[in-house]
Amino acid sequence: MDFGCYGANLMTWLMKGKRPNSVTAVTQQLQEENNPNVDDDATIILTYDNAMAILEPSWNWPIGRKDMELYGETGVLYADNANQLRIRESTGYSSYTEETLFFKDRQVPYDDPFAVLAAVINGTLTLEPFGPYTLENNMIAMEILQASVESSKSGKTIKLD
Amino acid sequence: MKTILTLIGILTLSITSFSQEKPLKLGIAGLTHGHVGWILGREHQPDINMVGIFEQNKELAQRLSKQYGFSMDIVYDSMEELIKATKPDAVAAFGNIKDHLSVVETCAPKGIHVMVEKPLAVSLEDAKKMEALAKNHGIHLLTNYETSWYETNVKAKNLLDEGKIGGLRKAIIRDGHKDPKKLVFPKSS
Repeated sequence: MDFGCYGANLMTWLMKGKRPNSVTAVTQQLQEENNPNVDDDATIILTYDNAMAILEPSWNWPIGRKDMELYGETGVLYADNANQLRIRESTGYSSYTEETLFFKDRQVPYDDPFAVLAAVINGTLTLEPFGPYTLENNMIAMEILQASVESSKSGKTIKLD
Repeated sequence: MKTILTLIGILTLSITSFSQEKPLKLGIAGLTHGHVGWILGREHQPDINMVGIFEQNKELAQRLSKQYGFSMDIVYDSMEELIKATKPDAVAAFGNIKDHLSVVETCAPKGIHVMVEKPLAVSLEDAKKMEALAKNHGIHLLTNYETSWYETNVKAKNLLDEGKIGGLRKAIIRDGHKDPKKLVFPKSS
């Protein structure tokens, strides 16, 4: 269940708490010698009314990564890592402009999860609805992960109502 | 946009008054997850006072005690002992994901808030029990993800919400690494 939780959490945040219509997951074990009891590679496809999300958690990436590509109607956002964001905007059939932005760590208290916890408890910080830390987000993320496990076991797409 | 600016204003104001609050008494349940270094290695700040640790693996606790310089006197054998001795306001669960439910079962009825390292639980069934406990006892139950610390993700969402790339049609989210030994996914049979 650990696997894929980043994507389920981020998508639920991006979609402002909307649950996907369906969940399809394919998982494999590519490194049996390192990992005898678990699948170590997955592709999870989530469908929403007007969008599709592809989550690719894996222990077979040659490099550590936690990145996100968001494709809209007119452009793309590439959150390459914690600090680099690229923006491409369409200017024709295949042409586009590209801008690269660099960011430092998040501002206090968001630069430290324990500072977030302390601020939420003492009432100085209210988390945004369906923000990544929130229980309502993570209940949906868990629903997505549970459906992923079922889909991977059964070989079928799981519809969420 | 105006709402966002007002929100930012409120947040900034809140943060300036932050240091005058009484420090949060924080207990740690489990030391096995690497992200626990965040709190153990945290420089002293007025917002949090780490009061105790529940960890049955004494070898691990010893090693981290030397590395981060906390006393073995604050390492307890059970959640109950930790709570009785230190009366924490909140507990951060950084042990086995399977134990997240029992941490919430112990803490929620006592009004102790909980933050778990992702994911929330090992199953939706456990998560539902945790949700009910958190709601019934009015505690905060937060889930920590490394990606929540990324300014790029926040900026990307803001740009998306502002319509910079039009409506979202496709998202590709990749995560992981080459070392398979830290994470767990039930093997499909």
